[in-house]
Amino acid sequence: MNYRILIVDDSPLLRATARRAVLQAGAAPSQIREACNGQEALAALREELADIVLLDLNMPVMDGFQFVEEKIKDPNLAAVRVALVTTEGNQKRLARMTAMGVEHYLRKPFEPEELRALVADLFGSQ
Amino acid sequence: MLTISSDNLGELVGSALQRMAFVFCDPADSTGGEVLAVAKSHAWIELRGNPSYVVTVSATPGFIQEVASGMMGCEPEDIDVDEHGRATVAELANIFGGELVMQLASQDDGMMIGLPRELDDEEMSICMEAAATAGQSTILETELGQLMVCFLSN
Repeated sequence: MNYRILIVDDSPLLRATARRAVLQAGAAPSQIREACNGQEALAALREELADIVLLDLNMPVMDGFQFVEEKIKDPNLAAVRVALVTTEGNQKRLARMTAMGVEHYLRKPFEPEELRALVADLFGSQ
Repeated sequence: MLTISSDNLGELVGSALQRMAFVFCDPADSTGGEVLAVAKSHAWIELRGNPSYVVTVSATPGFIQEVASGMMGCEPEDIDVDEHGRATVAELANIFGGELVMQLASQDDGMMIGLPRELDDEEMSICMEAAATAGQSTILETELGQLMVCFLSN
């Protein structure tokens, strides 16, 4: 599959876990990039677009909420789809994300298979 | 809303580890001091609300290897604890903190999780003593190592 994925999480452990799930879902290694926070993610997307962003919310520098707010201001990033992978469980804060166009959500702690299934679902509905 | 005890803290931590890393833990007989004598990395995370709480995580090298390898899909001996120790306990603090927020806060509550930060041995020792007098703690073990999680008011 030729989908471009951007994994955004401040934890290198979670980025490695997510990378493994994305590979298992069929992505090519060369199509997977990583960022440590929202600011790095925006810079990475402006350099080269991704099809899907796997986004943590709780990050330093620029958190996931701020990233989504900035993303929707930029028409060049409109086609980039976002899936949350986060410890956040508050329905009000998640509803705010949904209202801003975030379609998918997986709460940590997750089983590796759940993340692989989320990615496969995103690929399938692309 | 749940009142946190040593028992349900242990269950919450064990369940999260099982889901994320296929790590199955048992309650340990060790004391906190014994865990700290071997532990390689410690982390803290704040649960901000009214009231606020703190969660600390301390793990021995073997436990770090078991959790990190379970999450990354490799063998425990492939994990370099010096490279992955801090990130592993920080992420565990984040995950356990998120689980505790779900248990402690109603959906109308503004409780939020902070960012994990590393603790040194002395800071961890102070937190452990505080949890012993006015908080809760749990010590879990696997074949490879031990984990201590403390929960206390901030």
